[in-house]
Amino acid sequence: MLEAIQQAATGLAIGSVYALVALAFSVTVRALNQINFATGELFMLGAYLGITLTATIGFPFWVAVIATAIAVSVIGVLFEKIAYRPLFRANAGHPGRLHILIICSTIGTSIFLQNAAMLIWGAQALPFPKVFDPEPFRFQGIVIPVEYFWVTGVAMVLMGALNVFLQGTWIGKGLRAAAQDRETAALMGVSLPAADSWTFGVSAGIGAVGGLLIGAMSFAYPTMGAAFVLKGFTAAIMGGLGSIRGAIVGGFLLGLAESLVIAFISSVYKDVVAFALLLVFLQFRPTGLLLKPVQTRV
Amino acid sequence: MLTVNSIVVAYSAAPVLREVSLDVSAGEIVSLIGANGAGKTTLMKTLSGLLACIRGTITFGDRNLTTLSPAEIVRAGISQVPEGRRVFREMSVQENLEMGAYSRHHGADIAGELTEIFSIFPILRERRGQLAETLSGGEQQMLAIGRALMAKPKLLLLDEPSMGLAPKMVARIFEVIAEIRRRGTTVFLVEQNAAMALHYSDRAYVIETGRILMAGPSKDLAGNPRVAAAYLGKH
Repeated sequence: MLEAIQQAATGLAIGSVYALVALAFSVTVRALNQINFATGELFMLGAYLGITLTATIGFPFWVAVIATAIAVSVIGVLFEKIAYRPLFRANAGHPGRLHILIICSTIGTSIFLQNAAMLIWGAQALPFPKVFDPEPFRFQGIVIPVEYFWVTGVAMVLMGALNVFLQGTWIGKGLRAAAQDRETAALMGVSLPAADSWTFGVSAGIGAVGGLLIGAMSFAYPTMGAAFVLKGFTAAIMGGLGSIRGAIVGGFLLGLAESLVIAFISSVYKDVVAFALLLVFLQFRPTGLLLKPVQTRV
Repeated sequence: MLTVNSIVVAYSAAPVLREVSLDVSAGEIVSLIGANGAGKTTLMKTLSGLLACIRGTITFGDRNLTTLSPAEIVRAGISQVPEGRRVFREMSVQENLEMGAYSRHHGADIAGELTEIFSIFPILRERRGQLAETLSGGEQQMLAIGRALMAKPKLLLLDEPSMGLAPKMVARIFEVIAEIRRRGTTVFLVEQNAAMALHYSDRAYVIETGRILMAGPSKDLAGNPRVAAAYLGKH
């Protein structure tokens, strides 16, 4: 039982990071119906920036989180302007062709970012500086490292902030309207190019914080994106790709499922869980738990 | 107020609007009638900046709209009720109305307009917290009109406001259009329901395969045998 509770705490922490990656995917899918294959590299940049800002510059952890979110959001906006908008403009009337070009362009960007990270930070894994209390939280025989609370807490605050942004702010409302019906949103006075920049910026910022949090629990390396992106993508599919709430639900479910497998079966099967779930969902419920089984968009 | 001067609009190569000219004066209700595919919606999308014209100019007051973005055109005072209503289905009625005031920027005082729109459409006040997708077709049309009015337009464009509605609801919508004009907003609408459009408008244009075929006071057009045969179902 203790083992299960302890694993559940780990599951929540890891799950919150999966949820952030799933959100990063779902934000662009919902708004633009495009999957950003460079999400993993924006995640990786978050981990490296977190290390640089805390270790080299000496920022407190929470300041590093905010600074990383802003910096990688700006990279996301540049990414939209350089790797997305020119293709979108030139192929606006050809959605099929646009999809393939965006896949190529986002994969290209991911290769570029991986190599840029290798040039800047080197190919070896970098450990996260010791910013947390090394003495874990202990309660009735349960031992939970302090950073797990930070990771879960930061992720939840970010999810709350995203919700406030989308529901309560002028820009957020415009983004929601554009995600539902671009043309009509434009008729209301929403600037679509600005909305697209915000979409990529928000997605990148969320993904980067996910990376920073994973970094805080382990370390950063140039190809770390790939592993977590598959988990995050699985979480997004489980909740319903393109659904904001679904991404959060899927992330936590996947994190908990993995931790329960570790607790009751063996950590060897941890990764099997995610990919088995991915296959099951794609086969039997491709729209996920929170979206209607058949989606019709008029 | 609005002057469209021989505009040409095309999707890829084929022109959809060929040298279309028309004008709307302040305080009028002007309708454009025509069959499916005649170019009515294309004209509406061009007026609101969603489509660009290859040639010709569109002016509104003393402003040239031809190169403005949709957002700039709303701010200039033209708002549109799109074909098929196009309410934001996953937003509440209230949020849809707030989206209508989007061009007036953050923090604009919209309470007055909300009250006015609820006085025109009391049903929207009752349903303000409901998701727009739960409304009936007629209620969605009212919401779409209310949403467009939230921008405080000088000119309201309506694209097929009667589409898919029961006759009783069509009559109600047209009464609302007359009421909107009485409250000081100029109206330009396109319709397949020529009988209603001609009955409620002051002047009308007839469009066929991208060209303006006839123009004149709505009463005269309603009495024109050619219009009667082609659009009013009288033989």
